[in-house]
Amino acid sequence: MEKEKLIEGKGITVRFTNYTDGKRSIKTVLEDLDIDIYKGEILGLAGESGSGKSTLAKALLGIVPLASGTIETKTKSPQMIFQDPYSSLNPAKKISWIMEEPLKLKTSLSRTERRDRVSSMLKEVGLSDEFMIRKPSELSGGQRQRICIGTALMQEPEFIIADEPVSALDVTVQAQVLDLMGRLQDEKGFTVLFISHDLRTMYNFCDRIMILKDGKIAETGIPSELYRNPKHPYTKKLLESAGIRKNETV
Amino acid sequence: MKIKSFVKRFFKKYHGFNFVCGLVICGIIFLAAFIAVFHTPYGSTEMNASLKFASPSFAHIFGCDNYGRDIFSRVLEGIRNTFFIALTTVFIGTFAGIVIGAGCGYYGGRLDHVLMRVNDALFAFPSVLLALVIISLLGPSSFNVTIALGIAFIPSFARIVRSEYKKQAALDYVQSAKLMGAGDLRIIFVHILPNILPVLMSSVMIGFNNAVLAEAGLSYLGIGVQPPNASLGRMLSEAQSYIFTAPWYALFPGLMIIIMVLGFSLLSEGISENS
Repeated sequence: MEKEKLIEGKGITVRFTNYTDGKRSIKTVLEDLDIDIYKGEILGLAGESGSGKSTLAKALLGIVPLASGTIETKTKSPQMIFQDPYSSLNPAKKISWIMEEPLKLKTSLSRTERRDRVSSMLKEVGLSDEFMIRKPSELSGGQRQRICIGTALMQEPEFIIADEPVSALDVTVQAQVLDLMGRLQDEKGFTVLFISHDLRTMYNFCDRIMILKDGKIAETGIPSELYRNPKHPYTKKLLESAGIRKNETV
Repeated sequence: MKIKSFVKRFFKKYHGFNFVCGLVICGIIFLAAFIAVFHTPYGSTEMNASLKFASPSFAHIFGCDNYGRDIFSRVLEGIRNTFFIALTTVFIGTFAGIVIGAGCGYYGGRLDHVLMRVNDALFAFPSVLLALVIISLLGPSSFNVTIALGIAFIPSFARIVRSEYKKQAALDYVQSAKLMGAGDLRIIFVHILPNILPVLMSSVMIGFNNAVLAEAGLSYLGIGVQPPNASLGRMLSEAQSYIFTAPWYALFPGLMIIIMVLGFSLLSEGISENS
């Protein structure tokens, strides 16, 4: 069955211009990259640091200008969950304010209606109402990340980009937050682009995995296939360094 | 009940010797300035030849000056004038500084470069000198001094605000606010501004001190508050000819300037300690 495409990117090229010592240097971060994201899937995007994972995410959100290529998207309000939960929540505001903000901007709900929505969202991400009056500095990393997920979901998005959402958390909390994301994804059916460099967590979490290497896609596939028979040497190397696949040459 | 819990929360957040001392001193000064608007024990320009250079007594606790005017009343009025000039100056400086600094720091780009180079050029002049230039164009009066000092204070505020905005704009919460669909103005004033308030408040207090000193300096030179109105700086300059015959004339206005500056310095120190 052909699934509906939510985002279709063709020939995405992103270049950054640097000025060092008065000299102009152009760096190509993404080169002629095609990406299809299907509705309701969790697409994993893996690759080493500097391979252009975050740039691709920003390009999809329209934050970074494209040098060439097109991105067709059928989603209106894509959301993003950031890597560092310590800087992604406004430190001066209370949790209720942070979570109400998207409602204030996009809906005309009354104060009490907004409070109710925040309260039920807090419940969904596994936190109690008492968090409403707290400030981000009083929360742990895992709790903050839950708030970030909740805030993103307040806007009922069809598409969420999670840019290494758990890499700043410790292992037990990682599992909890991933569980939560998985459960909410099942319930609400939004599409996720899950960016990570941790191939172990991706195996269970993602429906499809895309390996990015130097701004190009090295390989795409479903996890069980990809992990068993990697075709691209870079994928093999990644799997070996993650300890999933034994090094054959030794 | 609500006020009580507010006060409790306030002192839980802000405490420490510097802050409390500063708050008390500034409170007294503010009270003095406020009272002087409505009432001074004697008229500040009321002359009395028989009281010329009268030394401090119960009737005139700070003594009298060369025209037989009550120094306490004049000091009160001087505090009032200095206080309001400094307040307006800081207000102009902070307001324009926030607008320029926030725009430059948040948007960056070419405009930022141009405005900051202009800022650097203005920054190269000492603020009192810059104020002198502006006053020489506008003519001496207390209103012009306020405007001149206000403009002279913009560069330093703009620079502080800009660097803070640049720092904050790079953080993920700003990105996330953009994705929520918040407009630039809302991000600048509602999302980011509360985060730079502690830094801003502390520099506002220091700016207030500088404004007090600058106003006193300009009045001392005779281009601030015009006679017969009293100003602490002008009183000092008048008193210096009589420093040996009537030392109290110079002592009390000078002391008031010191106390005022001390109070706001302590407050600024206290705020930056607490944040």
